[in-house]
Amino acid sequence: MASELEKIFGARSTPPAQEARRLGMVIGGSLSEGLTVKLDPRIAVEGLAVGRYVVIRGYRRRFFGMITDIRLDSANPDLARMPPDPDDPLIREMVAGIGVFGQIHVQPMLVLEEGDPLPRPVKTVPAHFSPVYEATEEEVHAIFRPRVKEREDRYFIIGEPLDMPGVRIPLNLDRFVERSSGVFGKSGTGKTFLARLLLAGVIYHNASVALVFDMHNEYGWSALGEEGRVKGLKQLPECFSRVVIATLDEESSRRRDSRYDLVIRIGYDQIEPEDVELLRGVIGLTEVQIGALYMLRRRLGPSWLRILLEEDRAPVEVEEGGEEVPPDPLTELVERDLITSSTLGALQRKLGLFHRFRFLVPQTTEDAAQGILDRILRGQSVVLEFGRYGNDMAAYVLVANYLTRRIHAEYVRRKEAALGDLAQEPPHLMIVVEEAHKFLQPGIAEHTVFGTIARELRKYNVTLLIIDQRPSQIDSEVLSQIGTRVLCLLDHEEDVRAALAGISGASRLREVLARLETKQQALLLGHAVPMPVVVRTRSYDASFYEELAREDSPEDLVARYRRAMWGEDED
Amino acid sequence: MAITTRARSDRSAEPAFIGRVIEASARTFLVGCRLTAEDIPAFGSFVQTARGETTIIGVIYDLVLQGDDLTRILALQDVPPPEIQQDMIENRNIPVRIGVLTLGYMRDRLTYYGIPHQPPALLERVHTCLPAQIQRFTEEPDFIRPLVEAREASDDVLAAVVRTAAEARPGPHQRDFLVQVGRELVRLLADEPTRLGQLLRRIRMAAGTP
Repeated sequence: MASELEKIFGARSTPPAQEARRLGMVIGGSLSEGLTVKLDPRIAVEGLAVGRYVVIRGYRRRFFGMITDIRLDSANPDLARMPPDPDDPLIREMVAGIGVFGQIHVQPMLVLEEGDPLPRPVKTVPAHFSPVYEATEEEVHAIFRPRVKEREDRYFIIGEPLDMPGVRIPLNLDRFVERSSGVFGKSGTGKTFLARLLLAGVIYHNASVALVFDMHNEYGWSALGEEGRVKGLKQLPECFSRVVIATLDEESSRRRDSRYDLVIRIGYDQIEPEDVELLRGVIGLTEVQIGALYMLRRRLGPSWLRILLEEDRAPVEVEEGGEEVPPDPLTELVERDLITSSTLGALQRKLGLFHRFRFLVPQTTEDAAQGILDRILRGQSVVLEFGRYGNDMAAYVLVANYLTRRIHAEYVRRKEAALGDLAQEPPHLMIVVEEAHKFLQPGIAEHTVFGTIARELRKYNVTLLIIDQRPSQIDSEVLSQIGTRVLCLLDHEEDVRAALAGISGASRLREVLARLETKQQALLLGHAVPMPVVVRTRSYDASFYEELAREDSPEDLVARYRRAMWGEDED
Repeated sequence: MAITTRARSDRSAEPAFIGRVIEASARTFLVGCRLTAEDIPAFGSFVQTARGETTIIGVIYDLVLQGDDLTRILALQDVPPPEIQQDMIENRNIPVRIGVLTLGYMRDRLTYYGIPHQPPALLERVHTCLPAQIQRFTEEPDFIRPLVEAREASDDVLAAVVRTAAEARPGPHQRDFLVQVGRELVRLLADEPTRLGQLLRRIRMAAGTP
């Protein structure tokens, strides 16, 4: 297989020269600020768009860059202010392109040295008056084609670049899951759609096991897309046995006809103050109240939450161990001045919302975290549907935090054990959280398990896929650790800045980001792609299922890959 | 005068003789001749003269008709007799001084723009240029620069030169030529938008209806 692929990809490394359209020439700029390119008179400014690729042909190098801005300029400002007869087509033709002209701003990103097929990060700029061309399909292929031989199946076609139909952009899945990634975009721009597409790639190609906290029940069995019902991850070819659907709300799952495999129940006894602490922002817990939680846990033991919440409803019962609990442990604590009655009342009132959560039960013998962990260790991805609790941020934060803390702790244990015994090595896990800023706000990110996962990178084989509409609300330290960013339209200035923070030269992409279309367009940048790229994402419909369904024989892999990459028919 | 008659009859076949160089500098030269009023070439016409192997090409930027004693006497009368006035136009060879601005030169079948190494020799013959020569000389818009920079020639001359050069081309190519010249003017006169605007409008008129 390798030789066959080598034959194919080797042959493709020197593609036939294609006539490229000249756009203009470099007239200034810098590496940090980007290059100014004066457009040739015959190039229509209207025909260009930010986000498109250009190639600057230097003496010995080809520089790859992206158009990040387009502007109008004039040789003399007075000429633009006092135009000679602009209504006359002949005079307009004389003046346009010479006296007044278009300029584009190009951010150089990669450089192809002569005789070196591997693109390198750009470290210099082309000389004055270097000609600038539109990037050809071959050149874009040369940049994005898989570098690692025999690993072509670890790439997932995510879409086509802007205005280049037929050119496929592959995402390096190994690199995508290697570090935490983020999907950002304001609501209604297709974040969920993109995340599902990415997850389909990750799961289908076995790049990682995923644990999806599925707030709105859109990933597991099926979901309602803009063009009707689409299949969830479990229904995709090859994925039925690889995806387990767990639910917090089996009634909702049944109503939606979702085939769940697992019902999650969490006992009050299993909840620790750390699990509740993250709710501080959601239900408004003060520092004193959080301190009180830990005190209650110390004084009352594992049943602290049950005692706290049962207090005003039922008489105190005898604990499992048979040990007699003092008739009114809470009153006793108040009497001993360990907690004020007002704090206690506030806690009971605020945590009273747990009564509404049917998945929380006073006692259970099941260990939900262990159940999910078992499946993950078996290599199965788990989609946890929240049912009707999806709209309750407290439930979402509580459960996601509860499960992640335990799973992460086990991963840390196993990973350390794996240092001595490789068989213990757990499969790579990607945890998918929506509304991630609730977990990763500045101030709390450093205390939570999500912040820890984001910061420690791949050390323990766990990474995050963060889906959020307000990246500006996420702790900057966490943001800076995000490897791959998939950005849909963002227009809030702060969000745009945050989404691009920590990537060198990315601030110039602001214009590109702010001008994405609201549907099926995304800016990909970071670890999993060699250079930032604006893609029209592939559709998630019958043709997608079909493409995945094709048999995975080696010959077929070659053919499928060629077709996917080059849009060719089998020959 | 025999020469004049020949010039009138063979206008399209070969370059018509105009006169001889009577004064020359690096950028301009004067042509002296006697012509009937009808044969006097127009402003902006292309002319050629030689200096050894070099053909010097220029355009007419100034025309002085010199009067003589008879003209002065007649001018003193209240109403000059119409028949004499008519005769003056049709038959009399008036002394004419033609100012020519050098635009470039041709040597060894190559065209060079700018001033030649040497000015034309005195008494050298000066001829008009044929359309084919004009077309070849104005292939590159560089012939415009001396006109724009010359103190002697007004923008009227420049517009007339462009018009002449455009007319030397077949219809379909005239527009392309005007656009090419217009762009060169924009390049040269970007700092003078008012002058540029006026010039472009004049050139525009040469193109007729769009």
